[in-house]
Amino acid sequence: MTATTFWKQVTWVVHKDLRVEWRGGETLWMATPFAALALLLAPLATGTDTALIRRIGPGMLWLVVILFGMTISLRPGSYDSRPVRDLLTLNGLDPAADYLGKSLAGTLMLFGVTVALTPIMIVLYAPQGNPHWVGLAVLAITGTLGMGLLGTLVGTLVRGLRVRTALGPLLAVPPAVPVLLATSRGTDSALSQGSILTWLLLLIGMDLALIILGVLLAGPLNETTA
Amino acid sequence: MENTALVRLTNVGYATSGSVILDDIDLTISGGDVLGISGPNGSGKTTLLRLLATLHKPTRGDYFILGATPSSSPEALLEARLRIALIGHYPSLWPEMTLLENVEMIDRLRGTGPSSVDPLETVGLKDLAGWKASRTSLGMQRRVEFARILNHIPRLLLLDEPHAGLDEAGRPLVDHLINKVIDQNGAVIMVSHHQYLVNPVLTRRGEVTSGTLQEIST
Repeated sequence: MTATTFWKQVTWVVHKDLRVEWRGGETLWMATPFAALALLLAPLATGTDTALIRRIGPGMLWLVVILFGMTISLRPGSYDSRPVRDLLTLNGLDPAADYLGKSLAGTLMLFGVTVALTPIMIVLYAPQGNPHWVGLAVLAITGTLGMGLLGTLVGTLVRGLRVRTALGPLLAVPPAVPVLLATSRGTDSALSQGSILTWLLLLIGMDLALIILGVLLAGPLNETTA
Repeated sequence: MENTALVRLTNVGYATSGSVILDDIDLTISGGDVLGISGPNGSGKTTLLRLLATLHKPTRGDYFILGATPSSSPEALLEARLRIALIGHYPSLWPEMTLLENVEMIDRLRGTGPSSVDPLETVGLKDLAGWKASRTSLGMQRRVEFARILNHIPRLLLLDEPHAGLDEAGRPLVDHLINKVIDQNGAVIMVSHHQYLVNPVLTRRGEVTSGTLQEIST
């Protein structure tokens, strides 16, 4: 398979998954309102300590994005059924292209959720500082990419298992911790015009590791779960 | 290996989770063959079709399926897979997409343009092309699967209960599909409990019982 064909297949998977999501609306109409609700309710639980609310804002945003991101990645609708997977295998879809395409589609959905939730976080938590907007955008892109890659990888690992919804979060949490730390601490730094370089490098390292791991495992996982 | 054989299984077996599903399968399929396979539920018929589709790898024995062998490179396996079509028990459609999109998505994946003949018209679904697959019956979904195959005639067509859900008017489509494959010197292997429907088109018959395949003289 040529590189052109490979990237055409990646684009094809992104297009397919986004079209299915657009028609089904699971992320937009189910996950996002609950995520917004979680952001809304958390300050009520902390009482009237506004200083504390300001401090936890960025962390809460990313915690909510990660948790609902995992829910989005592990939902039954995010997987092709077995007959469809058979069809794709017989029509030449490269499992690595499938992994990258699904991850990118998941990333775009999560990025959309993050963009939708950020104004809510700013209004409710009123974090102080003079934001470094470019830094925040780069953190959002690398952070949601990490979550998209991780969700797809875990989803592929537990695909077809009865205990998928229980095992998925257990497998996802350890590698999600550095992503959560890097995004929330990096956001704190970006809000106060501090350096985000360390956190950004951690996110880029995680993203690269997940890309390499997922691409290497995609073929064997596809054959064993066929 | 004979060059004329599209498929050759020699002493093939398949086991999973400690259970032997198929054992000692010997089978040679050449261009023009239409093999009908019957057998009781759970005897291994569907597993045999998945194995012939290269979706399961035999756990023992030797095989040659359109050039794919146990030692094939990934490229050779891909080459073989692109010439195989499988219609299984359950429809392989995206429920949220329309019937036309379900056909076109596969065309795009294979990098082929739209066919000069509208395959949905051939299978009698032209007027329903814009319907979501989730709104349609099992028979209509089967027809969409047939339409996809008409766009890319395979060398080896594997059918698992192809008449399931089809109405009286839809049943001849199965024969139409088989004839298209045979016209191009391909072969068809079909599992069906509807023997009265498949017998007229078969050139060979076999029965799977407890994981073993016995050929029955026609």
